[in-house]
Amino acid sequence: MNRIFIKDIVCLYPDEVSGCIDTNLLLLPREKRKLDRYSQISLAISKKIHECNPDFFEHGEDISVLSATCFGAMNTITDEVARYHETGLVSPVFITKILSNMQAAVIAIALQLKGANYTVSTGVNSSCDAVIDGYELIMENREGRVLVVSSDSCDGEFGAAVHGNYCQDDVKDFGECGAALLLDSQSGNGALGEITEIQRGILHQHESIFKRLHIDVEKKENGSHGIYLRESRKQIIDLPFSSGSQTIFDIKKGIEYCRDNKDKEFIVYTISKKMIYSAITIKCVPN
Amino acid sequence: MSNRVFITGMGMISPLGDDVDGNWKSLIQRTNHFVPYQLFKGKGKKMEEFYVGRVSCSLEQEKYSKLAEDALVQAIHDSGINPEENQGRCALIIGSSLGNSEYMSQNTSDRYCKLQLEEVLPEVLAHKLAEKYFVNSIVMVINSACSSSSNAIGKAYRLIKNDRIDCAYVIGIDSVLSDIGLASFSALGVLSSDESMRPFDVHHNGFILSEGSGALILQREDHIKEGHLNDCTEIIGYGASCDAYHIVAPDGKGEGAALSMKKALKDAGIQSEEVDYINCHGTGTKLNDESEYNAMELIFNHSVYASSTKGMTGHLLGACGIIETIFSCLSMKHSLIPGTVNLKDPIKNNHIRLLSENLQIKLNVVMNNTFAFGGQNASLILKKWEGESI
Repeated sequence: MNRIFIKDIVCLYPDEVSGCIDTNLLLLPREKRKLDRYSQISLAISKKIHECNPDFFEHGEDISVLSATCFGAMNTITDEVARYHETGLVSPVFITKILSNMQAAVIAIALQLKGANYTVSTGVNSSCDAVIDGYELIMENREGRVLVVSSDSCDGEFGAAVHGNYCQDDVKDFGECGAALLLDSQSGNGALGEITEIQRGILHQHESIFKRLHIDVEKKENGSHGIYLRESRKQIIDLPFSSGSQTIFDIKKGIEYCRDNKDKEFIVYTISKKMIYSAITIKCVPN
Repeated sequence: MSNRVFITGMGMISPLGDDVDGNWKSLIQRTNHFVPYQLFKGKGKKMEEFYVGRVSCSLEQEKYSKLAEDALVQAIHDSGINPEENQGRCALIIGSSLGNSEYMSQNTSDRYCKLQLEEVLPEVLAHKLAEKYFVNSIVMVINSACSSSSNAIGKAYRLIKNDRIDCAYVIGIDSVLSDIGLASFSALGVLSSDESMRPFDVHHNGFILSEGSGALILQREDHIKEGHLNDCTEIIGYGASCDAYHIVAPDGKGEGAALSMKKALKDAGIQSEEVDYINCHGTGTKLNDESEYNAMELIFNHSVYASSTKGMTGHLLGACGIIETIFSCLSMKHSLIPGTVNLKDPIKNNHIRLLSENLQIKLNVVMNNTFAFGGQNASLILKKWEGESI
């Protein structure tokens, strides 16, 4: 039976003034032209994690790319539909911008990764489900390594409508986000953590995620996402909302917390408005 | 633990018909079902005519969700299961590339309208159907463009095989027939301007855009309802890969596509010689057909039959994988390979034997291939259940 290790995590945060992620240092203008904004962010973050982990990306034939997005190309669709109604013309790159599989495909092309490749779209559960799919790919011996990338860029009325449909929390600010995580069957040097369990399911009405995961916690608020620390039996909530990238941000936070404190194991979870949940248990690897 | 995985129910709606039997009958009769679509482009409203494959659906505004649900209901009925009864751990997986483009075109320009999100986002549709049909485990959406529903079938197959679930509802759906949908694909230069497609012919002319849906019920062997096993097909292999070549063009050598076939054969534990027939992606574009033929040559160095059914259905994008998987099951059931329509001068005529006419022949193992914009490839291997005990 394979063991699955988290080798690195990179998160991109928006600039406080502009509210946008700066991708200019990582992408060429010609790379950006054919891609929607959220795919640009995914590609930029993939290049960054590739730069930091060149050894991981050897033997691209056995490396899978799984991408995740909550909103997809909502902004491009609304803009291009308006343009079409006005001019009767569609950009030749419209299709490549709105197909969400391009989020994963462009990374494979840029980094020459030839393993299984697709985009997971399950609202706030997207990145959690993509990490779980990556875990399953390695566990089933179908791939040796997996790059999981998530990103979103959406605002305005449509973003709010989509967000409200997915998420139980009333969060107003959900601009840009991007994150990447490497999964490997080999621990090697520098593994951050090991995934020891995955769970997916649907909660009954009023059922607590903690009851379903058989964990005892004082405060039993589900929320849309969270981190539960096994040893200290603490729940970290009030984390910033990062739409489709939520779980990768939460895994990073959980690992940092465990390394700063004495916790060894934590669980990250996300729950959609329809009570569909995904959860991952991670054992920290000491520094 | 490794379970055997069977297709126990099938449902489909395509331009060829509103159910599985109707589709198969039309496919074998080879009558053209494409209809003209006039598109007015630019400020001068220059008229351009295309042919499209339309389904009969009275609810244009809810077409996407209705197509998905109707196919699922057919498949559930075919399998003999009752969703309200305990099916064990039951998942719902949708493969789709785009939502309802007509709906999006009409409604997303009005910033104050109340969007029906299940017409725009497949994940919202998945959540709605999961709730209605008592799904109690995994709910997910896979997007890999034209290979979406093949990857959805593959994912469900792996989940059952590895004992993570007992039953899966898999849906493939796309509905992009609209002015903006046609204009977008026209801008890419991949659409046929004729009333027919010619996959694998030297005069291939691009594809005809179609809409439709398909659904499968997948179950592990010990969950199949008594009396239903005789009509079942077993899924024995699944492989997926990426060309890592270009965002809209396939790798001309076919190496990426060959890799997914190789992985599927390895997963099935069989040699390529055991495959009797390949249901090809066969879009009728020069780039796809040549790349696909080259890919098959890399894997199959012996005589094997191959054909494309897209010449009859048109290209159903994210739904094509599931529709062609159903045709593959029916080919084994009826011992009949549907020939490729309009194939007069094959691009190559080596040991990959491209069939232009229907061929009555016993089939035991069939491979179904789908390839996508972005180079995402998926291969499934299906086996006829021969009545051996399970």
